[in-house]
Amino acid sequence: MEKLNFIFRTIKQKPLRFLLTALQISLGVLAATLIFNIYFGFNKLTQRSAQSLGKELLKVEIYSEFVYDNGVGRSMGNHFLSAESMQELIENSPEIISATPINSSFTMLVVDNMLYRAMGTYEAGAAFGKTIPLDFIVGSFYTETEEDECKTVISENMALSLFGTTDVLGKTIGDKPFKEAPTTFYLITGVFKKPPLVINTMIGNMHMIYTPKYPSSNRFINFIVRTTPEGQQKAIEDLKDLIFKECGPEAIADIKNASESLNEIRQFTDIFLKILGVLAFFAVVVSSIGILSIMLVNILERTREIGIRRSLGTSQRAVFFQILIESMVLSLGGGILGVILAFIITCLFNVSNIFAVFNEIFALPNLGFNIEAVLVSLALSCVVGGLFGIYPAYQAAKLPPVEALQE
Amino acid sequence: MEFSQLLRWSFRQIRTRFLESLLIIIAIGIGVAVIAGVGTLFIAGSREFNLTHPEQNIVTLEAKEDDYSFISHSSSQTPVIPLGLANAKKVALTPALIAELKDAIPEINEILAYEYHGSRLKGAPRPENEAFSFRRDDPYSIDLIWGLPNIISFLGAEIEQGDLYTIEDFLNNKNFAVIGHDVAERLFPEQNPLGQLIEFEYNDSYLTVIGVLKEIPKEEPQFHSQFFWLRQELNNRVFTSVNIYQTEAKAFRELTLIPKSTNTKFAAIVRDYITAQYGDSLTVKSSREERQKELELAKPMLIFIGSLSSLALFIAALNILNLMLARVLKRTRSIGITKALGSSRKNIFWQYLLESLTLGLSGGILGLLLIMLASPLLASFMGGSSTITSGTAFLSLGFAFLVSLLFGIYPAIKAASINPSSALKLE
Repeated sequence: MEKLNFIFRTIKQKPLRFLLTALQISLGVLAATLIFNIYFGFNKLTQRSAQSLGKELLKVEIYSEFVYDNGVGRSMGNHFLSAESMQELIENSPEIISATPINSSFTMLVVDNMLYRAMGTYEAGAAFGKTIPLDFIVGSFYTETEEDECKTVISENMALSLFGTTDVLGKTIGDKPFKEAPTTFYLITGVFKKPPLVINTMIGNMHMIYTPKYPSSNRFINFIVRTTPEGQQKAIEDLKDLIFKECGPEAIADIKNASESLNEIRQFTDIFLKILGVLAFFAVVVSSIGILSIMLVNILERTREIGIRRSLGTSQRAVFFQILIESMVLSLGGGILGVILAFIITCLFNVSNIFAVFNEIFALPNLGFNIEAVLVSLALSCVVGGLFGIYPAYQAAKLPPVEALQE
Repeated sequence: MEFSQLLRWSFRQIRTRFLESLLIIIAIGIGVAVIAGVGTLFIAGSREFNLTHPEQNIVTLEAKEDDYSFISHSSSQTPVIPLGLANAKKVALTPALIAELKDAIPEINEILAYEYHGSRLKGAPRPENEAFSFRRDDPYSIDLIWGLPNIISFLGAEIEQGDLYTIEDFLNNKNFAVIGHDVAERLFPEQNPLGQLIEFEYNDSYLTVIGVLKEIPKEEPQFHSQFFWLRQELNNRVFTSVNIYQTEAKAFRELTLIPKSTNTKFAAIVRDYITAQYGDSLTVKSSREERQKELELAKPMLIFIGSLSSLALFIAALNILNLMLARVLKRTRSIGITKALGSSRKNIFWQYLLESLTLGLSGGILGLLLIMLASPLLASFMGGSSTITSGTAFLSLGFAFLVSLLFGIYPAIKAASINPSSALKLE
């Protein structure tokens, strides 16, 4: 207690110096907290996503490889499962609940005689709605009996972009694959919310799903399979057997569950987090150098005082710990300031959104402030203060009292 | 006092408290190294983005409905982009339009019009279970380029045997083909290819070979050249004067406008003309503008990285401020004595400012040395050569100078305004 009192007195004596040092530390900690916050927030989000659906969804791609001048290429479309054999598999294997092909279409939309280029449009039957869990604001996914009736469900974002409102049930959207083509009108039966990250990673951005026009849309080349949570492994084996039987040995099946798909994009974001982490690390290093140099100045100015305390009976140990604790208090004070700054910045800006420049998938809501990030950053500032306080504390402790008094 | 004397004085001061000064220099050094490193990475990145390459001035013209770039641009935040009225007539990119553009815009040197096609040879065996008619790995598939003959000379291809087809051949739907070196060897080994027929399975169409191109040697990849890969693949391509899929239609999906000079306003000139004549039914795209748009999208990330990397230098500058203030405080008495002995305020101000600047600049030089040592690491990270440029070096030194100047002024003023009489009274 007495030690702490002493430290606060020295801080009070030189408020500007304390403030500047704390500011240095706080900026370093600010950078670290921001990065930790993105890292932990992103981790939590992907874990939550993978836990809820990771054991139930499988993404399957059937392709064959070919060799050309510049390497090995993938050719898709030569091999596929027919809708009938897939249906048979679903009926025979209790692990597989449903499956849907993922056919993204390049098309244009017509609303009120205005033409739009659209992104994230898919042709799919009612099985899509059964396989992929979508959260509907209004309406619901079209049923199997409606498959021949030109129905569609669209995303909230699409509804707002085309109509300015989500109250669009019963309205129609025209579809034109190219400008000279006749327009087919689709009746909207539902508007869904932006799906969780894991769905977007497996399928891509989804804005409109409409009933298939051509029978070829029912081929299973790139598709999603929903399994029972326990039966995923068995389902993968069943699928591999079927693909081998139907498509022959040259067909390669790439089967991933939700967590594996997420890990693929995690590799990409992790590179950027590493770069940002290195930058934050340098900021922390520079601010710890600041602590070291200012503590050295501090003990130099207090040589006389330390001499007096030593000659009045204070042990070397006590002097050492006094200086060490002073450095840690300084650093922790800066750390708290840094965390507060990081909190303000996270509230004002959606920092977790920085990856959205690469892909719309990452246009995430504000991931908020993570308590883990705060704890790690505060611990970091304590460790830095302690580590860089050792040398000055050692210098102070080994001052011979007599010489110090002569200063 | 002269400048050299001031400099000597500040060096002496730095030497007397060497450890402290060294720490400041290291801090500034790391700050400068981080900025220079990030700057080098940015510059290495933007070199792949080379906006000054003459090919960046090339403009392409296409009907808005045929522009799919929006879909590949997944970072787009809206699911749709408007294309105008649904029943508006599509503007056809015909040879007539090409002639009109050439007359109306004098900056145009040449207009290329070509399309990629492909077909399988007639009688080629078809494996079971085969869904597609054309595959790159299939020896019976032929890569075709249907287009105006000027594309061949534009790509730098030369005729080895025979002739090129002419614009008249093109307009009259002559079934002529000019084939690449490897195609000639593949289809007509040990025969004279000229006059031979190439027959396709699609609609019984055929082409007559009238010319063979010289072999194109392999080149080093040029990422900023949009025609590089096409040029590399010419050995395996067949140029045709007829569109085997649409014998009647003579409209292209896309026109490529080559400017006469390296005028960066070329895209704007073309756009002005197109908007005046055809409204918003055609998209005018230049590679430069696309790149600029991409940069615009990457801006939040760049700002984030930029501010994070300048943070280290800022912290180091705070360190200078802190330590210089401590030094002034410690030397209050000696400054008082110097003043009492006749040293002017100006002199003391410059002494202390110069001390900060010397610290800052030494830190800057240390930082540059650090980054030069680390540049092999950076290069391996970027997967290319990324040595520090003199521009980045000067810029980072300038930063070091600027922050040490900014944060050195206050301690220098404080030192200069010390009152000798009260300073001398200090113990």
